[in-house]
Amino acid sequence: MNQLEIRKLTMKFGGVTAIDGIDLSVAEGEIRGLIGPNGAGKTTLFNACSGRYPITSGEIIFGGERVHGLKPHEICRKGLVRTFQHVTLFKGFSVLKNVMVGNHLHANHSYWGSLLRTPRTRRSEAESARRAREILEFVGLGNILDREAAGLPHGHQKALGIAIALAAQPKLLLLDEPCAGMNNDESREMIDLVRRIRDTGITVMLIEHDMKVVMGLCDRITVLSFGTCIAEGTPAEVRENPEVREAYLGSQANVA
Amino acid sequence: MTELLQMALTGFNLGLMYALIAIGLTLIFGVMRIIQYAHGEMFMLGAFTLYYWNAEFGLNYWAGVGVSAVVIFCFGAILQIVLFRPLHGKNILYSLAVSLGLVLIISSSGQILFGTTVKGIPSAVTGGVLLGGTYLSYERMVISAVSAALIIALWFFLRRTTTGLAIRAVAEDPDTSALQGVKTRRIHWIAFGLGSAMAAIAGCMMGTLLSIVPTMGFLATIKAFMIVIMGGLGSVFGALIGGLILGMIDSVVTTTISGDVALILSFVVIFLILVFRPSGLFGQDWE
Amino acid sequence: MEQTDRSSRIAWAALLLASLIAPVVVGFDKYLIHVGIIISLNVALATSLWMIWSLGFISFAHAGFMGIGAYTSALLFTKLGLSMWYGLWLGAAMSGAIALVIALPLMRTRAVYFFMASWAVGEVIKRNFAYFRDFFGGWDGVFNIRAPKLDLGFVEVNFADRLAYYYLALFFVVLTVLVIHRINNSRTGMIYWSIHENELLAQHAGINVFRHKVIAFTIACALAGLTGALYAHYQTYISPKSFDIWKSEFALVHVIVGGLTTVGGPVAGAISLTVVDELLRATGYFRTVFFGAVLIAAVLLLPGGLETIPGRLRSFFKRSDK
Repeated sequence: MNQLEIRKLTMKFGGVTAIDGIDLSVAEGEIRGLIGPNGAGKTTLFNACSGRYPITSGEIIFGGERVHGLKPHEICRKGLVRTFQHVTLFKGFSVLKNVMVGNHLHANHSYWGSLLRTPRTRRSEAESARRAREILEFVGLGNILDREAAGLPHGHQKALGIAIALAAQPKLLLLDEPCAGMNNDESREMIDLVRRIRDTGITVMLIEHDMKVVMGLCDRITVLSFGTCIAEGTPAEVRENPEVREAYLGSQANVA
Repeated sequence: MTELLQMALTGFNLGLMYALIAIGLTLIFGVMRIIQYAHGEMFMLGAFTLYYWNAEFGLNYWAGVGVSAVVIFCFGAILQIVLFRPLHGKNILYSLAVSLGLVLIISSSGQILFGTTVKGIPSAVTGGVLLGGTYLSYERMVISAVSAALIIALWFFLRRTTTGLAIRAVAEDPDTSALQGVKTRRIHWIAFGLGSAMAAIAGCMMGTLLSIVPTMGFLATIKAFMIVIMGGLGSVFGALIGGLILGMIDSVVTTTISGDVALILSFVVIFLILVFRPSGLFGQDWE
Repeated sequence: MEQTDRSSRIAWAALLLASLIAPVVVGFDKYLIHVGIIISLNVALATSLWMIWSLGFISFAHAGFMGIGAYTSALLFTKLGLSMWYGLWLGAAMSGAIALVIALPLMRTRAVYFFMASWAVGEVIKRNFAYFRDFFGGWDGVFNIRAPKLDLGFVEVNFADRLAYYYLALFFVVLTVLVIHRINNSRTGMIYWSIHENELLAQHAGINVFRHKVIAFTIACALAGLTGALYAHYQTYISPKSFDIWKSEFALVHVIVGGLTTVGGPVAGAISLTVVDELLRATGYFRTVFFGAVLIAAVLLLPGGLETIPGRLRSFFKRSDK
């Protein structure tokens, strides 16, 4: 069964149709690439899946349940978690605290617990900190737990963004341009991280402009152009697709 | 019917003056993103400047309005440069606290300097005409005309002149306009001075219709804020519409029911507008 | 980190001890004990306002909710004869309940608009007290709200006595600050601050932002209501003017001058500005002018507020060590 099923999804903003009847399905355990020229509707698709904006029509089904119409936090709870294209962190928090916010979902939180500071609350807070450390270790930030997020280098901030998402224990992770603005070394680390995330059993769908990254990393690729899906297949298939070549020639990019 | 017309005319007249105060406030917010809580104090100082010029020294009324506008423009500009400039780009609460401090200082020094007795500015225009049962006072007509003319003049200033366009550019996107060579620091004090001067002129107009006291600024601030919230912060057009709505509520409800109900009703209207349009009627979503 | 934790604990303990022995130190001076009570009430109000700020917004309706608590308790006493022991809790509950109902639509607005909308709410609350004359007493207010007595069996404490009331107020202020401090230092506080830092990300990290905003607003307003009830039974007289916009504004000013990031901020701000205000009493007419000047100077000369002073001192001494 497919983990994510998008059927006839349409998103309109005022008079502008950003997404026009897209069908898309992602199988469990794959790394799916989402590419297309600027304005093709990639980020809008993420916004629709994560509940940031209401959809105009269509269906989004995740793990057999309809998730469209739910609030972002409800969708997150179901295991569909996203990151943002521009670095989005709790900037004034320490690295560890950033991730602890992310995993609050899976620690029982109650106002009475906070107020009375019961042993159970304390245990659960310690447990949350331990899990956050594990996740940070996993993304390679294990040695800078106490640094303030705002002062980190770009690559670390991106990794932290993913760590926050991982803390919510996703089944499907949507990554919006994880390698944007990175140098080669940082990109390579990120690619490695995405693979390791998949190896823990999390499905990944990512938007990426760097074709080397997409072609090397993804199992399957979906190509969007002007709000519609123009091709889908393995990297090799997509590379050979004439329509894709045309769409990219139109925006003067190069499908390597 | 005539009663209704009379109320509508009063409401329109009141609304234009309210709009004049509120436009100044919305201009200051739009350009600097500060909540100028002492805006009503500028209104009060404007009225008192005219009072001393006209009633105490016996000089010409209309020249006094001009003098008052210039004096308050300079005062506002100096306040901006000395107090608000150092806080630019910081948390909005800091500039709010400074403007609260200004309210305390200005309104209580006003009470010490000007005394607490009620004063009045003699009308420059008297008389009126009875038109089909509706009384039109020349004074109110002149005031409406002057307010409307000023609002239109500002509209043109913001759309046709270089400085006006620069003000709008800074309000839209301060970083980009700074990159394109707009001197944002200069624009800030100009906008602050201009906004204050508009409040001062409104003070001059109201000063002839009502009596003037050093504590009158607070009510003006309240009205201006109500209007600006209704219309949307930063929107000049919104301030005009909001001013007219509030003027109508004030005039109609005060005459038919009572002033207390008018105030409660206007707050309820604001609350409802914000619930259904969380950024006011014509406002943007300021982050 | 550990060290600042310990020194802040010492500072809190010292403050509590100082406020406990303060009446003895001032020789049970009636006026100074009165100042102590006013300080306590201001601390409670500023701290609960700060709790709302920890989610990233500021309410100008705070004095209004304080008023709801005060009027509830006062009317329960004058109309039904229920003592403050009931009024305190019912006042807080009433305040919280109304806050909850208002918060549902109010939380749709954001940032500056929230601030403005809350200001309208505060005014409407005040105007309602003034308008429904038969019930709330109009602008004249409510009189003869007496303080309660407490029969401990072996001794009866009459809280009409200032000294007794001082300790009563102190008890509830400590309670208020403690509740807010606990919440702030727990996972709940972390969630609040995450909303403050980045609402969008908080939502997408699975936090029900709306729910937390409504709950926090309700708790803070209930605490303000509690403070209001304490105020009413101390002053024995309340009117709509007691809860006007200036009350909210002064609470806000206490928070800003004290500092925005820790509970210590509003506490320090409320204490020091109330003291300044009382000291300026000697200047008569110029009192408000000077207070305004102190406020502006504090904001311009001490960015970050009083709470940054320990850090400044520490870095100052570190520098002079070298």
